[in-house]
Amino acid sequence: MIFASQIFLFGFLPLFLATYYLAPVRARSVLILLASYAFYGWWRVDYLALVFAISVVSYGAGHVAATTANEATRKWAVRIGVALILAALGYFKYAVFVMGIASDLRETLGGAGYAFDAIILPIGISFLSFQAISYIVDVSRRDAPPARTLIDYLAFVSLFPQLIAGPVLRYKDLADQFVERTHSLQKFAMGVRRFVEGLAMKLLIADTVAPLADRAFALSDPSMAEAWLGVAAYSIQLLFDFAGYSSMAIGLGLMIGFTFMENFDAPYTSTSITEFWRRWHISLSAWLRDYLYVPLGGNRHGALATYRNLMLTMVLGGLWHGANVTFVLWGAWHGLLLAAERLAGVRVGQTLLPRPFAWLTTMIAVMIGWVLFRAETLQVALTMYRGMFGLGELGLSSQYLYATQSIELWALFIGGVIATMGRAMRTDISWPALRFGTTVVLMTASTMVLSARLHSPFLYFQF
Amino acid sequence: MQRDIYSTALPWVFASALAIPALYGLSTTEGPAPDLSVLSGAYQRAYEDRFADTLPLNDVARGAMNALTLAAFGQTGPDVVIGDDQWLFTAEEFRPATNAVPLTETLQTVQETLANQGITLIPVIVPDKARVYADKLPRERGAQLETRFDTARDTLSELGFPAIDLNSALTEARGAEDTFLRTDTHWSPFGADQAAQVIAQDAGLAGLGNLEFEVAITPDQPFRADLMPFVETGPFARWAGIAEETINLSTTTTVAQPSAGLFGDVEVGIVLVGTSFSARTEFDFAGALSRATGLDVVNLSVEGQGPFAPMTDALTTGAIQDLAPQFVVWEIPERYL
Repeated sequence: MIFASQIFLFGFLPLFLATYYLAPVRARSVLILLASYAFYGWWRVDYLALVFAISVVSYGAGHVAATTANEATRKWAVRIGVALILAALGYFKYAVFVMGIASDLRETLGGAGYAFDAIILPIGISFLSFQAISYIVDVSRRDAPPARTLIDYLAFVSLFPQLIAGPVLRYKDLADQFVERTHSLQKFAMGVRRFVEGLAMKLLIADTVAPLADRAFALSDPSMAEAWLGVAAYSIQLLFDFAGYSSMAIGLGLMIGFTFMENFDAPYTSTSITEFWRRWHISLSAWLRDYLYVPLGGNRHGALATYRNLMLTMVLGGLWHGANVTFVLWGAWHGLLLAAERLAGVRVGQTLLPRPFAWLTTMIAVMIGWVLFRAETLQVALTMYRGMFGLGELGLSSQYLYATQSIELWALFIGGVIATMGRAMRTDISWPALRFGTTVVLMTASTMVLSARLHSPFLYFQF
Repeated sequence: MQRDIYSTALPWVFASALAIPALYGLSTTEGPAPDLSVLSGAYQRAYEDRFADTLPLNDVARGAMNALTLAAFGQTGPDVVIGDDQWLFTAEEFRPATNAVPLTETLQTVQETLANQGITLIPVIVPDKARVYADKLPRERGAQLETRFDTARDTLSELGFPAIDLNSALTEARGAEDTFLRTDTHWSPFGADQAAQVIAQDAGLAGLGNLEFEVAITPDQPFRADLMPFVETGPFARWAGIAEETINLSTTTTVAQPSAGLFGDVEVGIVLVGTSFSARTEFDFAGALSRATGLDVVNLSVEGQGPFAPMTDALTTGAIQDLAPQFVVWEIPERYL
């Protein structure tokens, strides 16, 4: 089920909220668990078995690691738990990719290619796996207490506001909230505001600019203007789609008393790639830092090892987004930029260039990366790069102009202004009446747009 | 955390906004067929579709969105291009055809198949409305589209077909009456009649037969144009919307031949194969072709399948061979090329 759908807004959510607030406090974890399984099972009930299996494996591994006095047993519990989860992730997400490469290689060497069936990618498996791994590791490090009950843990893993597209939550941040959390009208109102804000980001901006990007990436020979307009549109689409989802998740959490971490902090105001990764998909960056970069050695073993670790972390982070060489290259691009900035001595908040130039070069670097992120194939990405670097026509073609709707350009402009105005992306309006009115207007407009269009899936569901 | 009347009211406003449609939708949505799989999500998809269809908000929302974008931005969505004086064009005329077939090879194959049966093929390229009414558009459509019609006609000439120029005919005839409908993709009944006359003239079919026909023309009546559903503003039409148009419907019938008995042999002069330009009865293109040629016309055109699939079907099923006409007129809109 997706948030931006009528069945969620006018079916699941009111039913869940009514039941939640009527249920006794002690039954709420069970209710969250059942509702979350219903939420996931709305897509496919059979794949709930996978969610359950990953949850049970990580709970079991964490339990053994937390309770054993034997260091070797603790290590093996962690290894086996993490390996099983990675094996599931590898099978569902990367098996076809690897088989495809093996098949191509065999054909290149003169043999026959392998035949293999497609594997359905369970939605949200990447987020689910990372949360489960973080639980095992945190518990084994004594960095987090083991889950109080299996129900609490199952409810945490499947917590529907963040189940499908994050933020990547850690049990240690929510453990106390499963024991006790506060509910109030004010907290609920804040949740409504965050949810509506996210819904509007998704429906009014992201989905409106999406056709600009889709058209540009579908062109066989985009001009310079078309390529840059398409990439700019995709940059805004991706931010408002994903940050919108995160905002909705945070809002839904607040409605039922949870406080989740922020996942975006005005990333398009960054003046370096180093700063960008402090502001973009914060929960993933933090996960990669704590469970990949630091265990690899981080910056503790000299400059060369640090660059290698940065590159490895970003390449694996790219691969986490999808089984495609484009994601690997996207990760490598960011790894290269991070390493280069580190070599040049760039730190968060410090720039080598004057700030406007530093911002501009950072945004261009990010947009160059987004081409790889958006393109279905490397060929499509190269076609876009040819256009962006002026190797084709320069202006907008008549065909592109006829297809472009004014409202798409307005949404791009408004999205661009909001994205580059930094924290104004969040509704911090101090006048209560205006805050209330803004929320009601955004809710009405989003509902109208949702009803007028067919359902629109979130980009990050594919990861 | 703010404590004010608005923060207290917001949860109740939000809950009401969700609860009212929820109560209506959940109580009125009928469950889909129970044999759909819940495990694979098929049942859930079907229920979700039904639930969305049940909510009365959808039509109002669509109308409001169309009205807003039309009034504020003068735009008509991705499927329709709007020109001056509320002239609407299908967006398909503004982009290259998807899955275009190789015209030369296709024409040669059909021509050979028909020639073996002693049937003469007469392919006719119907120009885009955006070509005939280019003056209603803000700019040209790009070189590839601008040259498409002439390129196709050149191909026809090279293959030895009569190079019928419906573009000039329909453009010049605009002086008398509109040859295309303002809010529809297709030609008007007048345009269809003009096209039929030019085809008969240029292909040497004019007056070839001796059948007589009668035409009945209705007074102006409302017309449900094919582009209007994309721009309908529903209850907001009073403030923003495209004016509907009217049409004079013509119906062509054969005048009974005194010499022919009730069950006398009827020779089919022409089989007409094509798209909605020919298939839709409102335009009476088949009737116009009968009147212009004096020949009986059997219409095998089909709506919504483009020009190539109906021809393939007519040949593979033997429909054309069974009718054994003298001529096959193949109407091909240029947006499929």
